[in-house]
Amino acid sequence: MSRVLIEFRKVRRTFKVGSTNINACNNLSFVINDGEFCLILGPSGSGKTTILNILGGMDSPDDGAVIVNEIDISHFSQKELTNYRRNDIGFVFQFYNLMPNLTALENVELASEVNTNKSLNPSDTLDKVGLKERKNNFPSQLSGGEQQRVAIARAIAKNPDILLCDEPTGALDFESGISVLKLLKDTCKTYHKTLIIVTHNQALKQIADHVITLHNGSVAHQEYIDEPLDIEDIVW
Amino acid sequence: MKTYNKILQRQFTSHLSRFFSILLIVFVSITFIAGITATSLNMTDSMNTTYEKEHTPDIQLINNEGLSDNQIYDIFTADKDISRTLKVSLYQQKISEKASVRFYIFDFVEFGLSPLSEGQILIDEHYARFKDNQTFLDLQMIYWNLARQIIGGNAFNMSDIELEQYITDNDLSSLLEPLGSKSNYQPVFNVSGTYYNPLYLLKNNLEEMKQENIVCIYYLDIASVNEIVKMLPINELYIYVHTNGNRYSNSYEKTILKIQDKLKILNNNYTVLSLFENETYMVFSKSAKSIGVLGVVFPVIFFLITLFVILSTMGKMVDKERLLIGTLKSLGFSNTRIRNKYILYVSLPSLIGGVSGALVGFRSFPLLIWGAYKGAFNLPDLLYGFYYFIAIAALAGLVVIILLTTLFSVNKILRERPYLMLRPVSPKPGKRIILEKIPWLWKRLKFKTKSMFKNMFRFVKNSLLTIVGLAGATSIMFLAVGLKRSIDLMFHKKNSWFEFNLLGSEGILYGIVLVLILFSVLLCVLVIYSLINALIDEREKEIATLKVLGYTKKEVIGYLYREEAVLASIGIVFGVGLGMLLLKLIVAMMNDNGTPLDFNLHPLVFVFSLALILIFTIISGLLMIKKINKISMANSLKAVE
Repeated sequence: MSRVLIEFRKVRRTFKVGSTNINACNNLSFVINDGEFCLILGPSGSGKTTILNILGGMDSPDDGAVIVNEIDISHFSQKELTNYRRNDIGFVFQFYNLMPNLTALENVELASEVNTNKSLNPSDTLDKVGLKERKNNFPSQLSGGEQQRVAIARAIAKNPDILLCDEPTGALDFESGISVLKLLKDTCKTYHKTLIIVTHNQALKQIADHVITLHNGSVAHQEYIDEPLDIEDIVW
Repeated sequence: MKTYNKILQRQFTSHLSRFFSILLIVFVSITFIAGITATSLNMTDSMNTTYEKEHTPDIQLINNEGLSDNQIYDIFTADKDISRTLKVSLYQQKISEKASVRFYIFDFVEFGLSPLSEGQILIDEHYARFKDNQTFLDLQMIYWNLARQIIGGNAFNMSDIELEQYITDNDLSSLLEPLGSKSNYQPVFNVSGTYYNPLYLLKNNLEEMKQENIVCIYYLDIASVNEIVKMLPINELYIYVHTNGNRYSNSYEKTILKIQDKLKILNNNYTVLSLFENETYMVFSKSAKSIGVLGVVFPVIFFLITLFVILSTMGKMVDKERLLIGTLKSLGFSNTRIRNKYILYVSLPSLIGGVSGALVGFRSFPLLIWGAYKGAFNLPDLLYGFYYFIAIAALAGLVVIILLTTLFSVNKILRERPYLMLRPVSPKPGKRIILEKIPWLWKRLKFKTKSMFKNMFRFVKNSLLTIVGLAGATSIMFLAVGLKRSIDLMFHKKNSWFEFNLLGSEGILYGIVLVLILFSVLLCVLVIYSLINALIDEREKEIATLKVLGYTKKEVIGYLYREEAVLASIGIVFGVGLGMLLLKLIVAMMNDNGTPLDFNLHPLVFVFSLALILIFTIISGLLMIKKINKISMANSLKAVE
């Protein structure tokens, strides 16, 4: 049994919309183990984005604790959160968010630059995601799948403990989606990263080690899968 | 319809800061343009009105021996443009070693004033204002002296006559006997009022008066004076000319010169003086022309800069709302309605800012500069004008161009097929920049420097906006500071960088240059602020992404501002060059109009204008840091806009 890396303990996040309070998540608790491939699944409005924001160090809960690597980040200051995002989290966006004027290699450098003491060699990282020949290409010269690969390399290059992905296949066709997922999974195994994918895509359910299904801001269902399916075997 | 109204309303509420920045910049600009162009018009209008009101002659013809009726008739008929003449006797009396008084004697009714009753005299308002000059006059003595000269058979002489050296009082009594007893011509004069003579408005002593030690001027109505005075020769003739009412116009100058030539041919003994030999007129006319020069060059620059800023902010707004335009279009909104949304959005602040700017400008600027003039002139009250032409031309010019270009950018999007509009515009492909082609150099650069260079070349249009904006702002700043220096030198003040002497005749130019500097500063702040504001709006997503990647506040700001600093520096260098050219132009134009300015480029002119620009740029940059920090990281999760 591997150690607990992330723990959400009775987390509440409330937003004020006009005069009414809306709980984006309430009494939300779960744990994610080190090295796990965890899928956070839910329809829109289920609290996915709130978890993504809190775990990504972009937002803090109103109540409860969020423990990452044995440290409670729920009361982190802006500065501490910046450090957390910098060192502990590799973020993969739905729309890749690459800088259009930087080449693939430079986009990776953009991230490795901020974390020089432990970051990986940008060029090597690009080799690993299969873009050896496309390092000097600009995002506009790459396909969607390739752009997402650059984004993954960028997330990995900082050498964070956690790879946090927001609908990483959301903007991709099926084929590219599959290969991106495969890359994510393989990369995390190679580098021993904890992979968290936040998605509404039910089809991904069978490929993760751990699936947390959300409903109305709290955990509706949790499932550990001993033998997940090969990524090639799923369809959506 | 209701929804459309809501959409219109939202347009304003969601782009409020842009709305106000357009309003403010149009306000400042139109205030300045309206104000400065109106000022010289206002000044000359006020003076023209005063000349008309005070019946100032266009030409004074002087002949010490006196003019005969025949001569006067010849003069009157010399040119068809002469409308009337007025006979004037000028008599000057020395009252002490270094002081004389001057009398003008003419027919008040014919001149245009209400007649004086016997014993009344008018004092010149200019001299009445100075208590020191209100020398008590023993007018009786003067009268007697006058009589002595006439009766004594001495030709009337304009030059001063020492009383003592002439005749004793006893002699006088006998000399005056033919005129009756002494009491008959013993006049008692009361100063019953003042006459405001536009020919003598300069506060510092006029050269003409200084030469002849004149300490006061009096006006006498020939209808109410003693017979003796009526015997004075007509040694001046006031000539009035048919004019268009504007004594500062070229056509007026032409007419006067033509008549002057004809009068000189008529007789060599005449001295013919026009307003162009009048000190007050000349000093005033020069200043008005100087302001006229500034009132052309500066407004043009202000106009262009304002136009440029609004166009770039509107262009960016329309581009950003491409998706919204597509959505509206696909929902079936007509092109007209979509266009109207933007037309309304941009014309409202332009019109509000422009109209209020024109009102404030017309009212405040002339008053400010008139105030400075009052340090040097005894001026009449300023006549405000609302110069519809200027207001409408400046405003219409601005609004029409803004509307046309806004329409252009909206149309560009509307012309696309709706399904394309709904798709985000694909990001501009990255390009290799020149530096990358020198691998040994490029490899050695730090990532920070590399990304900076790349960003600068990424959107050439954006980079050009920063360069042009800063160049414009710098050029007016440089111009204002350089002008101040030139004026300092004209008044022989080599080291008075921070002095603005608003008193005396210097006050005029310093007043103007102070206003110029203030408005240049205001415009600079607005330009820089809106440029950085638009820049940050546009790069919201990029900034949010950097934040998510764990860039610290400092690193984000460095990433954005490094390139802006380089671009701004390039703009400032161009701006200084442009400012130098403009300063040269203005100095040359001023010289043509008789203000002897020097084109001087003291190192401190550079230092001060650069310091001012840098301070404003840095302050705007610092203010914007707050905005950068406020950008929510959630922006990074959104789809491409």
